[in-house]
Amino acid sequence: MPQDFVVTHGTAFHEFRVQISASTGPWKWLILFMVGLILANQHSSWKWWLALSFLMILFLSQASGRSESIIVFPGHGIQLETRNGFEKMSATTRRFIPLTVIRDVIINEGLYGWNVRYYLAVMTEDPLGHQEIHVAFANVLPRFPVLLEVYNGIHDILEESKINM
Amino acid sequence: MLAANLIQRGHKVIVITHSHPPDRVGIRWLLPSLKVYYLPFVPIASSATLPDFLSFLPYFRTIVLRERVRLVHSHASLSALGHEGLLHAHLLGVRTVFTDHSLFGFADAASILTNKLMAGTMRNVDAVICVSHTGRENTVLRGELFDESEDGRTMVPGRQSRRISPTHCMDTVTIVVISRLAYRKGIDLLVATAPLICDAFPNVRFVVGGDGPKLIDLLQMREKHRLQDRIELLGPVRHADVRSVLMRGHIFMNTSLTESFGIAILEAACAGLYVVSTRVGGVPEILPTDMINFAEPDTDGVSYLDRSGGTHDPLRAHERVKALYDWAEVAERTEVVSSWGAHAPDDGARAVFWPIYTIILVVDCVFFLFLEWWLPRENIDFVERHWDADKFREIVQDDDDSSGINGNDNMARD
Repeated sequence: MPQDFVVTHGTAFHEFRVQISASTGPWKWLILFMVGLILANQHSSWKWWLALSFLMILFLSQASGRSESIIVFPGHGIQLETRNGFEKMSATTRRFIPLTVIRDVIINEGLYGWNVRYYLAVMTEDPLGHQEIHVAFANVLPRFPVLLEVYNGIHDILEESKINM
Repeated sequence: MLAANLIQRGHKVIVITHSHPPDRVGIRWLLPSLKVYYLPFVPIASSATLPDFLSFLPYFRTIVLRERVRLVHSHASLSALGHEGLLHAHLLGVRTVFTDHSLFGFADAASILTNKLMAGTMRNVDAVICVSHTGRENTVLRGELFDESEDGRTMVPGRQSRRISPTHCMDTVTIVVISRLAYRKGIDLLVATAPLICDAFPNVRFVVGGDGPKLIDLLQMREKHRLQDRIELLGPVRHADVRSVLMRGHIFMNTSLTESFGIAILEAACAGLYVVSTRVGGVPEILPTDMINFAEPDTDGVSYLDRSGGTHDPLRAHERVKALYDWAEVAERTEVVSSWGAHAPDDGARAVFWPIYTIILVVDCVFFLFLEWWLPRENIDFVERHWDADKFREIVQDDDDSSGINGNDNMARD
């Protein structure tokens, strides 16, 4: 499925978003569903309904888009967001990382099953000494050119905010 | 060292190996500019993994494709990853070079199996590098590389040079032994002769570095003869510290039962130590005869020494060794062999003798086709940026010039 990379610059934030847009492919599931609905009315056995609900789930999962973004708030921190579902009706997960615990933003390579992928990560260390790596775009996993642009963008913003502080 | 020199000559070198417990898995950078892939294969005994002809293929394919590898260099005939790498390399159109560092026998069961395995792999290899003439004979016999017309040309590289300052003379003579404390390294000989030597020469001290299964024997011997003040056991010695350990000694003792080349001997000679060694394998080829003294690999032979007595000049020894061996030269010669390999005609019909091997190859091809479908090439994250020595130099110079504000951020920028 095609990925889109969108950068939004606001006055107090900068968002780097990678989204997988809804494709027209899954609509065929909806058509199948409609046909199945008609047939199920005639046969009315539970197996039909089971198959139909399965088709419905398939359709919903494929037809809706997914997007992940990194939002940088200069002076405050970085927020990682994951959005599942349609534009108007989505489940969003957010994680905010305050600037005080951020040590670095890096691109590293990691083993991913049989594959090797690049990933962007925020390294943090809290006052207790506990270190953590937060992976950005963990579900969408864009390829390296996108990650490089995000990396450069974030570092530019953070540098600027340091100078302005 | 070889990798560092090849990188200096402008090549890109990556190392692929299995993971080391407890948690060294993934992709790490060793030194600047040497990338190491630690793959999640569980080692079963003393860092050796199970031979499995297909499990390495997916990782190998991904890594070779994304790094745009053109040559695979495999070490050690007992390395499962090494054999697999050579096997799979031809599916990807990559040239192969093989190097062996140890000598093997022909008689025991383990040797027969590994030799057969090696012979099979040798059929596929484009070039072979051996570390000494003895090593070359051994490899040729084991790999059944009898056909002159095959790409069985071999080369013997010279080695190493290190900056060393010589030690000063003392009344006590210190004998240094640094090795893996395993059977092959003749630790039993050391255990048998150390008490004899300590009795015969009261001013001799031993310094033993290294770790392994035979450490227990050494400890027991020390207890039995009450030589705690004369034999010092250092435990595992890190590479960086080896030099300082060598500096403490006057004589280096090597009691290996089999040794293809013996870099430890060379390092010791380079540090200005006088070498006493068992005459096995490729050891006689390493040094000129006045710098090394030989003994037969049995107890009585090793217990004669203290030849140095003032006639051995450490500085001069160091200079000679430096002239004889040079890592840069090794890198250069390796490069030559690799280019032989790269230009070898693509012989499509690699002769394969055994039905099992053929079956393995066929399954390998099928697996490869499956992988091409499952992880298509277009979707692989190709490596665009690698260590760039010029960039590094530039950045470091900029850092020195500027006053240092935002120096860290500059370093992070690739």
